[in-house]
Amino acid sequence: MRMKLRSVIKIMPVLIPSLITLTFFIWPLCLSIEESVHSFSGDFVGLQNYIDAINDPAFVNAFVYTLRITIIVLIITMISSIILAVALRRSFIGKKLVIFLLQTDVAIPSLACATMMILFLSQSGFLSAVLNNLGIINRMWDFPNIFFKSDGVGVIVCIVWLFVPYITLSLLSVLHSVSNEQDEQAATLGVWKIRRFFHITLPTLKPAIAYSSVLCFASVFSAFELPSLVGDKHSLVTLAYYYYNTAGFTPGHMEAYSIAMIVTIISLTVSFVLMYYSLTREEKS
Amino acid sequence: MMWTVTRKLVLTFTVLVILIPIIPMMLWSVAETWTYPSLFPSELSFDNFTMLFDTYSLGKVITDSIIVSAIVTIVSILLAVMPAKFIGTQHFRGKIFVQTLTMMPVMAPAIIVLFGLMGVFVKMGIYKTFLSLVIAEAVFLVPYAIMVLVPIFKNYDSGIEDQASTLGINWLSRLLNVVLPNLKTGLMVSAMYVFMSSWAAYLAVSMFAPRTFNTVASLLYPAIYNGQYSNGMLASLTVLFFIPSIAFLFISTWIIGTDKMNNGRI
Repeated sequence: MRMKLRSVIKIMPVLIPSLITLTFFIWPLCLSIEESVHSFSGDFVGLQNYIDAINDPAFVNAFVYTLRITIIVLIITMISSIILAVALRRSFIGKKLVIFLLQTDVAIPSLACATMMILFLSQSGFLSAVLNNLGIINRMWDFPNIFFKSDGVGVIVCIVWLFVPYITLSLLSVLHSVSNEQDEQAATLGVWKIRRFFHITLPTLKPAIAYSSVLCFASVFSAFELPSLVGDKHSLVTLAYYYYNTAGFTPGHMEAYSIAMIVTIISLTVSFVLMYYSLTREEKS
Repeated sequence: MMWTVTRKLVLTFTVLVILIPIIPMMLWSVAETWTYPSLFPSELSFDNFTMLFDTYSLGKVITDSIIVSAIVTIVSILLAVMPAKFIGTQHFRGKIFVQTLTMMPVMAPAIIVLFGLMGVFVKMGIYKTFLSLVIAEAVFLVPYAIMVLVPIFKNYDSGIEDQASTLGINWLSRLLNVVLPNLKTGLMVSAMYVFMSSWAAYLAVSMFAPRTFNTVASLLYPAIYNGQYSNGMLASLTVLFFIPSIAFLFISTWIIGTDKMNNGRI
């Protein structure tokens, strides 16, 4: 009994901080769940708020829009990051500069990214002016308008610009930490670069790709700042925030909780599965 | 040969894509007048910055942002050290589960927790106070700090700490005199990343900051959203917003470089 008590006391410094953090995570999460199954007058309504949300055309539009953006960003980001990480694997003149620039990009907050991209890619932006000076376009309106459009191209461009360097650096650190021996042996035996990439490099990167995909998926699916600043339509999170702030104590206010819960369930399920897979692979290796 | 050319093209393209969007913003921040389709401002001045400081009391806003980020950083690192050490150095059953559970606040969308936190803070009587803001930010940054610290602890030599424990030194004294000094570099780097994240946080500030309290992020978001600022003022506010992040990046790169030279490891 005394031994058990002693071991509990021993792990207290570890348990207490974790418990404090988890309390302020789980308690509000429970409160949000509770709110999501009550009406604005406080009556228990079961899953009615969820049904209302799913039947709300604004929710359906936001869901399709968010999913579309997330999948496109995930595909572009992962492919670009893998190509970049492989290109940066070997030593060459200027490698440090490229890595430093990637690190600089990682340090740029999303709000700063929004301003940069608006000043660079809007119709009156810098790129449009360059093309005008080159004679490729005659007026600023000839330049495609990518921001505040319902297809979300502006949001995708901004998020990809922010995420590619971050994921490239994560994948590169994995490539640097493993020996190049297998790849060199295969090269000596005359195996083609593409074949070596699919059979040696890609399997090495698999856990890191899964881990990065978790971060990318979770961040994009629940992104708030960029979709609200450079997008035209509501993403799921901006819709929840809009209902929460503007609907007051009306049914819309309760719908905010159910929408946020749906985002959480999807985001956590995907993240949990990928994270568990990634950590299990890491432990095994 | 073809592979080398392709690689050079890919890397040049990357450098351009990263670097070029930063240039117009830097130029706009010091532009007095810049009309389309000129490639450079016709006049340069620091009027945008002066106007920001005069009109929006930016000096106070920056000070407030630094104070809140510094407090959040200290709280987050203090709460993260021991769990990170435990996960990084111990092998136990269910470790992956514990690790995944610890990371949950990072993986879950912030919005749902922030909605719920409002109810919690109202019940605690601290809604819209400085304390509520610190807690709201720390909830997300403690797991982030743990995530950064775990790999550092994986390389940590716990021998000296075991010796201190054998000599009967309590855990707090061991933490302050043995663990923290040993991990100085790693802690400084993770503290910088936590500071940067807190500095850039907008949602928590918009929901829980006291009514008259502003951070640079909470000033910048409506500036972009409402389009009420001129391009010049928006650019200069953004420059002021992201300069600390870049400065911290330089400092952390320098710290890691120095430490690698001194110890051969972080």
